[in-house]
Amino acid sequence: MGEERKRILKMLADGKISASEAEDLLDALGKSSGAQTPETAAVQAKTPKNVKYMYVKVLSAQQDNVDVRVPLGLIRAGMRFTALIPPQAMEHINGAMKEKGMNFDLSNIKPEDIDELIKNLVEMEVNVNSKNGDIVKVFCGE
Amino acid sequence: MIPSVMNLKIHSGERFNLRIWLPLFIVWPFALVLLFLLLPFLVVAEIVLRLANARIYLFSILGCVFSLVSAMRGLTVKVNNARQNSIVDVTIL
Repeated sequence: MGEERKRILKMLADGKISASEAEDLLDALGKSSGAQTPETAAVQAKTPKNVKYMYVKVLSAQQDNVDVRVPLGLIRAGMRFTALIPPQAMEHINGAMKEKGMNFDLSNIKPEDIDELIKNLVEMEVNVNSKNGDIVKVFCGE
Repeated sequence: MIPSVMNLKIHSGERFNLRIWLPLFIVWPFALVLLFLLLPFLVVAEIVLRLANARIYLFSILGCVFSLVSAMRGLTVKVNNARQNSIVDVTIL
């Protein structure tokens, strides 16, 4: 326990300050020392270092379930494969994607883009609840 | 770290039941020996491809395949069809 915290508690015990004043002081002390609230702790707990897997869960109303756990490293390695696609094939892929409304060049994806993508993927969460009771969840976790 | 074990479980109704425990840690040394045996051919193929300006680099592909296989550790796929009482379960450890 810090010295300041002890002093505030002693002042409260001595009756020099009220309980609400002590609470305000402790809050202020927590903020200044960078103490974590439960919300910030929860956000910081889900850092890219801790998160290793992407989960895809499909729960259908007919009890047909799909449960997939994909290591994020596998996604990263898979994305790096795009660098090995021959230029002739890349043109075909880009053309086919453009036809489907996805107008971007796969050859522009760089290793740092992949790292950034994986980093941001950690914060992604998809929840789909259909009318007939089917549930699809995609999220990242440990 | 490369995967060491693969568990495969396929169950389809009353008729078909398959359980395979594949010790990949035994497979990798054989794969390494095979790679060493094929290495001279791979080097020749790489040189020919580079001379032909094919832009296909065998050793880069091998490196990518290795990183892909290494990253497979921890992959699990479970598919359960309750109506047909079938289960497919693949776990790579």
